Amino acid sequence: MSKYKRSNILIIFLLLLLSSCEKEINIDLNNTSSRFVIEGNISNFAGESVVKITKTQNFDETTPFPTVSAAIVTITDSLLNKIDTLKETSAGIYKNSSLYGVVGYTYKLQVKIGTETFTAFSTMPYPLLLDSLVQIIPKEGDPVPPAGTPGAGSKQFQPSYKNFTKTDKYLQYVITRNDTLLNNLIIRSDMAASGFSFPIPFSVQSKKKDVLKINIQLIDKTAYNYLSAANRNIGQFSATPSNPTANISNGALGFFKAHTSQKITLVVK
Amino acid sequence: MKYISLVFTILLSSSILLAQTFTISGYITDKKTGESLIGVIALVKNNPGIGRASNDYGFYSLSLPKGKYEIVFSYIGHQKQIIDIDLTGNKTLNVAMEDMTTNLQEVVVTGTLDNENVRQSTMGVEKINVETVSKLPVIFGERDILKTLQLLPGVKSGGDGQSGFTVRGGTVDQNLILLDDAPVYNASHLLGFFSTFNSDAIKDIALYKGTAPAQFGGRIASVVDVKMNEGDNQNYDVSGGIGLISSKLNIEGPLQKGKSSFLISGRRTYADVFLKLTEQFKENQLYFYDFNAKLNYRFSDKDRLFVSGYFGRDVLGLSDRFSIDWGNTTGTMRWNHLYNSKMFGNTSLIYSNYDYKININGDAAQFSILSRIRDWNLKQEFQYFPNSNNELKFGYNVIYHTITPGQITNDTIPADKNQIRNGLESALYITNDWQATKQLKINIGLRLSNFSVLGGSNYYNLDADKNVIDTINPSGVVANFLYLEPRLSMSYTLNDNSSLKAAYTRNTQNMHLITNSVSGSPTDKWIMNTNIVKPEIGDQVSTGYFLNFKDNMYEFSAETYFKFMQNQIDYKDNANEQAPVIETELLYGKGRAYGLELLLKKNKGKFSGWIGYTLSRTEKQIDGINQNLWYAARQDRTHDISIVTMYDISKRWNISAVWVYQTGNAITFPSGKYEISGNNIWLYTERNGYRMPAYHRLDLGATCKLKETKRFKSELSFSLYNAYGRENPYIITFEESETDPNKTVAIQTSLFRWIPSISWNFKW
Repeated sequence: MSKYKRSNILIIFLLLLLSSCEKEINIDLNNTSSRFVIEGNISNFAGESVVKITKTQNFDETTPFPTVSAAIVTITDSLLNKIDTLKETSAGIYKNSSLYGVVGYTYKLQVKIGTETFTAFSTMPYPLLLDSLVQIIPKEGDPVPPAGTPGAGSKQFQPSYKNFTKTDKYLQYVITRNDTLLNNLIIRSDMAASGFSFPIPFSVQSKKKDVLKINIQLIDKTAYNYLSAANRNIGQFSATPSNPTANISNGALGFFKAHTSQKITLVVK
Repeated sequence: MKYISLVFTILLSSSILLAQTFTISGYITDKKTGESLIGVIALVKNNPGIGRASNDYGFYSLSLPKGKYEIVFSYIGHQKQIIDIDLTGNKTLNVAMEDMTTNLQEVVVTGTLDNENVRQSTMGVEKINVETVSKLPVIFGERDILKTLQLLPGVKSGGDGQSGFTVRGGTVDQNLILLDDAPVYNASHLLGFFSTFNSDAIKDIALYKGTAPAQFGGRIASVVDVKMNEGDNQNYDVSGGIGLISSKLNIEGPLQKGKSSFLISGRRTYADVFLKLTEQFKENQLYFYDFNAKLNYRFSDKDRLFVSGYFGRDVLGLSDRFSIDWGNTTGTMRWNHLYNSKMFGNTSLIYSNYDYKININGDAAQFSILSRIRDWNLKQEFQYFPNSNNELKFGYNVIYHTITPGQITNDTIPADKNQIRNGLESALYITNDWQATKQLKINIGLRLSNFSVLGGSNYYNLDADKNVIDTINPSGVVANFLYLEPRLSMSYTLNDNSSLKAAYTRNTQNMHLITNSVSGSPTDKWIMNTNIVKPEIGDQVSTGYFLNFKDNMYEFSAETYFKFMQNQIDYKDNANEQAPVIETELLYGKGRAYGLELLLKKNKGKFSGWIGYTLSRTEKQIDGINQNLWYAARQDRTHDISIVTMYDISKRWNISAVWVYQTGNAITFPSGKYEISGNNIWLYTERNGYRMPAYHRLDLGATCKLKETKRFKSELSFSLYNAYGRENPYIITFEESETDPNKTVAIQTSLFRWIPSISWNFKW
């Protein structure tokens, strides 16, 4: 869904205006050695913790990403030193239905694949309760983004909460639309530290009567930075494209986040 | 200080030796328009070693022993003038040069001094003849001096149709672009497809490829010195052009005949008129306009005042929800004073402003973002002509810079004054053009430059991971940078037709453009030195061989350069260009650039043109990028070829063709991929490890002079840009295939194929 061009709004406009043309080309890209990709989380609700392990591919490969089985995956509570093991429930997916995290605690993810060990740490942020989350209904006469441009067919949503802490809060909205999980990495920072905090709206591709289940996750700065770097990578927005900096040791790609969850269901108007 | 006094001794010693000389001095103008002429060569006929070029205001001064002389004045496009002089005392001799085209049949000699390129001491300098610009094919029917510059060796285009350019491995911001002495911070319109220079208002353009004499400073790659026309002080003229997407009008004339004149020139594009016709884009706006104006007034033979200005604006609007407008404003007030026949002075007060404003008018938020760079600039220069072998220039320059970075304001958010930063840049310089022996000509100079980062606004302290740990708001001077910049260039004439040249120059740069592209975009950030960002330093050594043959019909030159650069700036990996504190995204290191430039030029005859070739390499070494190894800079291109040809078929018709070929820029492409939350993430292995495909293009042009009357002249220009329709890549992106989600593909976007244009230019 998120096929944005690597460009700013000016260039999009320019391309529309001028007789530009697009075509698929062949570029001889180098092969890379395969690396492990670990994506894990722990939430304050039981059953939401999942660790997924896959491998990288060369650019021209056309098979699904290879999964990594038979890894030993544990999450350790650093305060009580309580170790929980996650079991492989399907290829490359590791879960523990009774595991949940506590606000303010730091968690350690450890993954053993063969002889290699990978570790990552994340601290669960203090929660922030949303007062409301409402759809922004455009007024009559407001221009609608033309079809084919980014933003066309999307609906905007406005969260509302009070952040008294004067420190930045980082939010991730994980959304299912009619029970299909959307891939978009929707993250927002409220810039509270700069003095003028306001909850920033977000948009979702949807149409009338779509059912949206929105999980509002409070994440820490490391996860926020990782996800915003991932967004720049996906959209090819950065002047100096590179891999998002992983918080996992030993050269694995990916990240581990501890977060709180708050769930809201909306029907699109 | 020891060094300075030594230089002074060398500079002045030669002037004491000669005695009992008298001075011929005066102004050189165009006879028809009264426009002062820059770079007219005044030579003593029997002794061609003694010569002098007129300065930026048309003034020249020649000191010779008592005696009889024939002085030859020559200038491109004008007839030679030979004047007999019996020199028994100081003499004022103003010369009005006759245009060659007005009297075509009688011309026997060509107007330019044919071997000037061989003789002059400065190297790495290119002069563009405005007449050549008008003969070459163009894109969108608009002539553009900056695009013509890109056809010279050592100068590389910023991209398809772009007026932005890089010189000898520099970046786009390392070019100092001056319009009547005022720095122009963004020299392009319409996202780079037009330059800010309206060629109708331009008199002279000189490009120094990092070898500029000491009166110039502040950028490490090049100086582009553009001078506006002064305006005809004899007759009223109206000229203009009507093109497919833009039109222009130029009015000039005398305020007092022969004494003072004015010029006003304006342009406007009207692409937005076509937008209105489409259903989809009728709410959108996209246009630019600009004005050039100049006044000059001669108070007396000794005093002259010039006031000139430029104002340009681009507007881009997407309905009333979002708009962005940007542009430059410059103003220059100059006072020429002739102290005596050997001493010429000029005082300039210069204002320069570039800003862009983004207006957002949504439901959830209404605000505007203002970004601005503003200079107040005082320049004092003296030119002293002690004798026929020396020409001294000395002076000072003080600039007060103010930068407002992307300031967000609306009814409830007031402007944050702490974000506005100030700096004081000053320089003291002296330079001498010295004819040391008959064969050896030396230009030696020294520039002392200083930059003070001024307090009273926010600065940041960062930790090793580039996180802000502390915001400071000091008073007084935050940081001070003082540099001594020596400049030396010399030419050794082997014979009348050939010479060897060598030069060493150091330049420093205190203003930096943080950009993600080779050509620059209107919303790029200008920053100045801070407590963290240090001045860029460039040291360049160059050598050259110059040869004219077949009676100066052909010019050949070969130049090499090696440049070492310090405190170069690049983005860190995966930088966020929108980061509120841009210093958190930057890394600093070294750069080096070296290359060979070949130029073969045919100047005379029905068939003229040139072939330019550059072989070069530009690299950076920055800790934190590519395992701290040297890597190709974005603008690195191995080969760059330009072939420019012009042919006069008849008195009415001339045709031209331009072909360019360039190795693609260095670029970062992914080598693999992986998955995060169901998204394809590209796996990168190194910065700038790949190349864009090669760029090449052929442009064709033809100009037809229409029927001429005594009062009215007009011509039609036809151009075909990219004649064989090469799909040159503008950007290459990577995405999931639309047919197979497991497959990833590279998509190339190209901009211009076969852009024909026609424009009608007139003058009466």
